Amino acid sequence: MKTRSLLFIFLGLCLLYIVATVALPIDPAAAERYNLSPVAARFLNLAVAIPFSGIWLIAWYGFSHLRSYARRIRNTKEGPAFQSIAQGTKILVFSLPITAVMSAFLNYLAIQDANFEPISTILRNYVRLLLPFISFMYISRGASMLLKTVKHPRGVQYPRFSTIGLIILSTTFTWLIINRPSTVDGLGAAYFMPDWLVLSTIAVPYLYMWTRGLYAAYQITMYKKYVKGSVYKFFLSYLSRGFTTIILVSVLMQFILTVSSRILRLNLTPILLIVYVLVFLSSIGYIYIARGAKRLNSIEDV
Amino acid sequence: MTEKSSSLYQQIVEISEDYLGPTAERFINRQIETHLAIVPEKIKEKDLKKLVQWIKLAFSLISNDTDESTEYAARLLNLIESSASYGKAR
Repeated sequence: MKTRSLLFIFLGLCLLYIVATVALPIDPAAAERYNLSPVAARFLNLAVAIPFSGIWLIAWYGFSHLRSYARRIRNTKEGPAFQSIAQGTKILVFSLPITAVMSAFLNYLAIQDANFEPISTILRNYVRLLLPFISFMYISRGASMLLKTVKHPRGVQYPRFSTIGLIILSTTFTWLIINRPSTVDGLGAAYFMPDWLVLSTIAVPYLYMWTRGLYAAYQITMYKKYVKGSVYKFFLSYLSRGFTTIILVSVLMQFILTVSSRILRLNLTPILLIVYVLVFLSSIGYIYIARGAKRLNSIEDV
Repeated sequence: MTEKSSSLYQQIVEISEDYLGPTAERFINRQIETHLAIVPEKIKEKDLKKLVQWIKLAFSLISNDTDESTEYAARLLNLIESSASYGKAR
């Protein structure tokens, strides 16, 4: 599909999200929890939606330059690797407005009918998982292919302390899920599913996705380290930094969302602060990607 | 003659790889084909000076590092002297 067509679809999704934020009824329980009037709640929604949409456009900017570069070099040795990474980035970028729009409509349906809340929550959890999962698999595959194009020592295959790091991440995440606040029938407020189902169909896929994603960021960094070319490496460092940032931020955001019931106990200001900081960080990641891709494209231009 | 030219081309690419990595060969091929209008592998010593001028110009559009650009050009120009020494020795 042409880049322009993709852009129109993306802009349409962003617009749909902003319209949904304004047009759909607000959650009365949330408004009461934070002591907000309906008007104030709508303004707050917009105060989140508009910066989010702006960040998504920055994400698109980063992706479009990466895509342009990947297409340029598709018939070279590194071409298939960059194409896979670009494909994964496309899915990750599109997942931003898609999950937001679906969440907004699922929330609306849950507000309209309390019986729909469990279905809405379950669907929202799986939607949040599915697209980033697919994107991380593509990025991971691309990063692995990229590293194979250069000669590197065998020891770089796995970063130091990766095993203990993953054990800590897995146990912390699993503990937070198991110890989440419960509602009726022993089902968790964040999931409306029994623990075994949450662990097997949400926790395990998330942990696998994060492992692959973080490893991909490491592999791209190692590719940059072992590839030849001082100027090429310098330009590649932007891509490396960008991917490391967006993967880390994506992991952190998903981690926070999956244990969101604990976050919701905070006052509004810390919640907004956490959201804005994470979104700002991810925008920096995409700006780095755009910068790196543009500079790499400049080599192919002359 | 063709073997020597091919070797010269390979030397140019090898030096370029130190700066441009995997993009070096494509970069060099473009400079030779566009500005010298010859088959890249058939480049000769007499073409090298002109090629280096074009490479320096193109490189300046990619990178602001003038030291690196100067070093790159100098290494390429050294190939002319190496080729001249090779010719005399023969």
